[in-house]
Amino acid sequence: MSFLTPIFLFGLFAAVIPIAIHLIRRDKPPKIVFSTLRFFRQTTRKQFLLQKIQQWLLLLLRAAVVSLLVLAFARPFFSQSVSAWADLAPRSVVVLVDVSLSMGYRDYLDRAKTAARSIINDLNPGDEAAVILFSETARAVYGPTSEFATLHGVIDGIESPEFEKTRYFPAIRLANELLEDSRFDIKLVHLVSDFQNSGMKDFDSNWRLEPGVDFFTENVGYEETKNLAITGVKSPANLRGSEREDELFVRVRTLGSLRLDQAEIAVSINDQEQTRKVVNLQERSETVVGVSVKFAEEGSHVGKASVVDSDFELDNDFYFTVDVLPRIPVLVVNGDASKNWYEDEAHWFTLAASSNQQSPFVLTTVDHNAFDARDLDTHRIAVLLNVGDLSSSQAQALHAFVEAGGSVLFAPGDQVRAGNFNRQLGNVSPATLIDHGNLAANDYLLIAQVENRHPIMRELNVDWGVRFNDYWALKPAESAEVLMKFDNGAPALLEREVGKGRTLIFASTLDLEWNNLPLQGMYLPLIHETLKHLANTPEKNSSYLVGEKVRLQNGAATTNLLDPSGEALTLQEGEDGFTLRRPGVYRRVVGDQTLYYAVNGAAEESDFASVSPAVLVDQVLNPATTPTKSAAVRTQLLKMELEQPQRLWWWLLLLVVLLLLTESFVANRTHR
Amino acid sequence: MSSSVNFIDPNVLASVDNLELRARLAVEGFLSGLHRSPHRGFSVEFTDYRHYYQGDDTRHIDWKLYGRSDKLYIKQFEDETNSRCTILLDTSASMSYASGEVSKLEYGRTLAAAMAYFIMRQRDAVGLITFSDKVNHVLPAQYRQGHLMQILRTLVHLEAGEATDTVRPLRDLAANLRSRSFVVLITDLLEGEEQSIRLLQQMRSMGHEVIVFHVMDDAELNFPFQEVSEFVDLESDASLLTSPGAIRQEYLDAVGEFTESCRKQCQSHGVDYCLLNTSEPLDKALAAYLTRRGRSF
Repeated sequence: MSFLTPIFLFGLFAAVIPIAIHLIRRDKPPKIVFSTLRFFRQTTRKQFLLQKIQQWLLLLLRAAVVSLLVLAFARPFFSQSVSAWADLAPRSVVVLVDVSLSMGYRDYLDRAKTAARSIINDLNPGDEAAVILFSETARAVYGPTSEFATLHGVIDGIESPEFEKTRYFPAIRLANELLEDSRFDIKLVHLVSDFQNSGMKDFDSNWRLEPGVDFFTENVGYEETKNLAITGVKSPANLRGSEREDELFVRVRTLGSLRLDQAEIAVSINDQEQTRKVVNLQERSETVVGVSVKFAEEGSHVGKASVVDSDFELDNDFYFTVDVLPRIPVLVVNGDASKNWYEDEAHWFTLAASSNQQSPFVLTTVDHNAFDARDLDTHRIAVLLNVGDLSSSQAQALHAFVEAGGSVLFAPGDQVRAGNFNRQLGNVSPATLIDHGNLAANDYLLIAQVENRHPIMRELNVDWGVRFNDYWALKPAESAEVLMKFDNGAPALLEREVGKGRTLIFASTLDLEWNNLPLQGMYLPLIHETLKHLANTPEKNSSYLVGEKVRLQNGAATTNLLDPSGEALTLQEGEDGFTLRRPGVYRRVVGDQTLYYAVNGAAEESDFASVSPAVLVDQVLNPATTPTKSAAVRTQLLKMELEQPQRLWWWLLLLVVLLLLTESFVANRTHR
Repeated sequence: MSSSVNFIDPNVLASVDNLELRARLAVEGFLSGLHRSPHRGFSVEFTDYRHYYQGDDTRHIDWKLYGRSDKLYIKQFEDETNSRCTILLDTSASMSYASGEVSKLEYGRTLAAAMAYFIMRQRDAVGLITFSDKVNHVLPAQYRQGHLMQILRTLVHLEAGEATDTVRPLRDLAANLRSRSFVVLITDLLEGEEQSIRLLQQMRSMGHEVIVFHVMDDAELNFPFQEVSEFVDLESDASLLTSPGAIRQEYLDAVGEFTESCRKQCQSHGVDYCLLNTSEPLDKALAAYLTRRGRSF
């Protein structure tokens, strides 16, 4: 027996009312003084007993009338349970469970697990379901299966969130693909998440779920959230030279719907606390704290900036590294030396590259005639400034130098003859020389095109304003990359990889002879960025985000790698790097050198600003999809279908009428 | 003529403290409704002559006899008229029962007063005997100035007794009634009704006119109770828990049987029987008396 509207069954308590009245009114009967009892005595005892019986019968009738009325309103029906439920069309369901970093906020993860269990519990035997745990990408896929206990085991096995950011659409797309191959026509996707607004990024607005795939959401987030987070530390990835003092900038922010007034920040380097400050966040939600740190020794230093916040601890620490490296030795070969500084070919270059003690470069300048191949052994970079003819031994030394990993910068000028240059250095230079002096007396060229993605040019995407009165027309080598062009389309700067090294050629001089570049503000950064690039320092960031991949230049086989928990990571054969999976500090031992990789969770995960689930539904639901009725609605409809032909409530009401008639009859014969 | 217009409700009558006024209101109201009394013409009965003494009322001098004997004689009249009436009022404990404002005793008291007033007004001699388990007051039947007030005074001070014994007062009365009399018994007949009626039959056989006013409370006649109650006997203090609704019909049958029995026994021997409900006006009783009175004299 089931009920269409079981809420009315609470009305059964009303059946107590007649009983309560009966009990309440069982007072001592009143005394009536009467003239004589002579007419009473013969019939009282028998009638009194009968009255008692009739009163109890009335009580039962009245309680039964109330109960039957309540039952009638509850609309009872005989449930043909097995056959009825079997009529429900089977469904294919995919449950997407958000396990991104933000799900570590308070009890979000437990709420998500509860919601997911509830969805699976609502499935009927015969349905099939899959569970996808996702963050930035789908982390794991289980199912589809009809063994729901397996899926419960998957959900129970979620112990902590991933450390990645949230992206809804990769997971939704994967769910869509799973449902394409599903067995049943009713296809549902349930998304369980805190619905962070940042999860809506990278969305293809033209994409929709397949027609017929319905989409439901379970929001486990709270309306009120509060969070303190270190959203970033601005620090140099590496410094050149010991005894360096530099300033770090720690960015702290209060996030969530409730603002926090202040935060206590602690900064430590190599586990030594450098400073601890309380910052005020009343006026601004974000503030930047500068911390001056002195690095006494060369090597890799691990830093951590922390803030105290018990609601969301996963973003309380921000890790970073500062590598203090030795200064880069640079050999400058001067092809046109002069005692007058304004005529010396290397004057401006030397001035830009090592004007003070803080310069990351150590320059050794030699005249091109004194250039010895052995000089290259102690330098990483060789710079040939307007160097004319080289001896064959010099040229061979340069070639071997580049092949072994060294770098060379060519800046040819009027001392250079194209034929000799091309013959001696054409196999290492990014381009061969054609000619120069093609411009009219008053004509000049400008820099017109820059390859912004190149490491040298990445920070130099500005108006150069340099006038070139002369330049070498170049013919780029096949493997060369043009980094900069003149406004006539001629290459101005080219790069080429040769062996383990690389070479660059600038199509004009680096002094004032053919251009006014040394007088421009861009000259110094151009020289510095070019030399840094040529130093070929292993690329390493101050900090990384979870999910990023670190590429290893020296090959994975030589790498001894430990994750933040100290667990050794084994790289597969052929892998050229490793993916950072969790916040903290990864250690990589290469020979006698240890490199540290600071890893942090995505800063956007600290922001709990949410998007309405309805917005997401509108984005992904195909307009051609007929909304699927929820299990509750379908069950209710099924109940109505079962109840309609039975209409037991009619019979109950008829019974109530009969009982009321009986009650009236008995009541008329019953006297209190 | 409507009784509701001419006769005063017993409750209204009971609110009048002055019993004489109450009796007069009842009787005058009754008489005004008759328009014309069929019983007028009763006169004072001449008995003897005596010598005139100074100070006698000259209206009573027999002037014809003075013409014949030249002496002044005063006509003497007997202080009784055509009839002698004795009212017997039961004041037992059961008579004190009242479901409303008027108890049976109060009703009987008013009835007795009205009867006395009415009888005296018709120049009949009237007497009063009250009794419970014994005779409490005896006022012989007389027709004289002040006798009515004496009867009324006695009625005013009546109180209900504890038990009832109708038989003994009736036996005493039957023994003392010499001349032909009119006996009015006001009672509820709840105790010893058969013996009482038998004595009344004896009186009837002795030539007396007898009328019984059987006074019953409205609750006794209609038993309007609803809730289960404990009923306590007014005289014996015996109690009985019962559901009135359950026994009503049996009760009404028993009461009807009782009153019908009384009526039949009375009527079978020429005793007039009049059942009175204390909620009804007194006209029924007065009309019954007049009917009996007219039939007898």
